[in-house]
Amino acid sequence: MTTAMPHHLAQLGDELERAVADQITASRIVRRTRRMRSRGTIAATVAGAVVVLGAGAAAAVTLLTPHDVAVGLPAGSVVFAGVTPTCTTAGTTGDTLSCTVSAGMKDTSVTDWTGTIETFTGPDSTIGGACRSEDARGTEWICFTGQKAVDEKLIGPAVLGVHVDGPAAA
Amino acid sequence: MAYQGVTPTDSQLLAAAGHDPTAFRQLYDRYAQALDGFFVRRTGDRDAALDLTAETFAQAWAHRHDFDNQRDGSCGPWLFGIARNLLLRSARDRRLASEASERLLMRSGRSTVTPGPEWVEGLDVDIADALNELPPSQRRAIQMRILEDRSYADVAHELDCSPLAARIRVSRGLATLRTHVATGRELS
Repeated sequence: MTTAMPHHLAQLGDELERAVADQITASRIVRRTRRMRSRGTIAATVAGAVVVLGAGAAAAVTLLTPHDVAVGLPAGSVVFAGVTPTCTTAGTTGDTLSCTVSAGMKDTSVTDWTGTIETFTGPDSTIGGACRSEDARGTEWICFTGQKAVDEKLIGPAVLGVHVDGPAAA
Repeated sequence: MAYQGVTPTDSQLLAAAGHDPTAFRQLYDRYAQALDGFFVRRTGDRDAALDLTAETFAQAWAHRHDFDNQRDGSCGPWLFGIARNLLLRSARDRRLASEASERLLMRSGRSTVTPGPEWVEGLDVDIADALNELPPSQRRAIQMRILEDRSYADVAHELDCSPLAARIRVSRGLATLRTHVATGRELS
C-alpha cells in the first residue's frame, strides 16, 4: 500500500478489527469452559452458583423453540457459517432437539465432527445451550437447551446465559 | 505480531487472524482500497461499496479456514473471488449480502440502493478487458483461479508449471488488475 488509506476505509478497518477482537474474546470464553469440562473439573463448580446464576438463564432458555436453536447455531458458532441447520424437538421434555445440516458442514478444517460440541445463542444473544455432532460429516446434531445442556455436560454452568457478541470462533 | 523484520505473507496474516485481530487488520489494509474501488466501479454507490467491502472481509474472516494455502501466497484472488460472488448474489437477490457482517455485529445497511442486474452486466467482460492487458500466461492463470475458482494445483497442471509459478503469475496479474481497477472509470 503506497497511498494513504481514505478515512472511511480506515474507519471500516477499525470497526472490523474491533469486531474480530470481540469474536476472539468470545471464543476464548467457550474454549476455557471446554478445557474445564475435559479436565473433569466442571462437576466441582459450586452448586449454589448453578442455582443462582443458572436459574434465571435456564428459565429463559428452556423456552427456546426448534427455530430458535436452528437460528442460534450459526449465530453462536462460526463453524456453522454458511449452513442452514433445521431442528425438531426430540422427546417430550422440550429441552432436547435433533438438528440436521443436510448438506454437511462447510468448514473443512475438521475432518471428523463426531463428538464435537458447539454452543448456540438464544434471541437475547446469550448462550442458550449446546449441540453435539453425532456423525463425522456433522449432519446430525443432538442439542440441549438451558440446564439440560449443563446436565448433559456439554457446557459448564458458568457459560449458560453468558452474553456473547456474535458467534464464537472455531 | 512479530515477524522479526520479515514482511508477513497474506496467508500468514490470515492464519494468525483467528487469534490476532491486528493480523487481520494488516490483511485488510493491503486489499481494502482495491476491493472498495472494484465495488464502487461496479455499483456506482459509495455506501454500497463500503457495505460490500465490509461483507467481503467479514466472510473472509468467517471462512478463513477455507483458504487454500499453498506455500506463502497471496489472498488477493481469493478475496476478489468472494467479492465477485457477493456482487452476483446481491444482484440476484436484489439486496446487499450482509450476513457475515451481521454475525460479526458490524454495521451494515449504509446503502439504501437496491442492487440490480446492471451491477453485474458485463462483469466478466469488464474483468476480461482488464485481463486483456495482462500477458497471456498471467491472464489465463487469473481466469482459472478467480473466475473459475480452481485450485493452484489445477492452474499449474493446465499451464504446465509449478504451483508456485502459477501463484506468482496470478499474483503479478492481480497486481496489474488492481492498478487497472484503481484507475478505472470514476463515479458519474
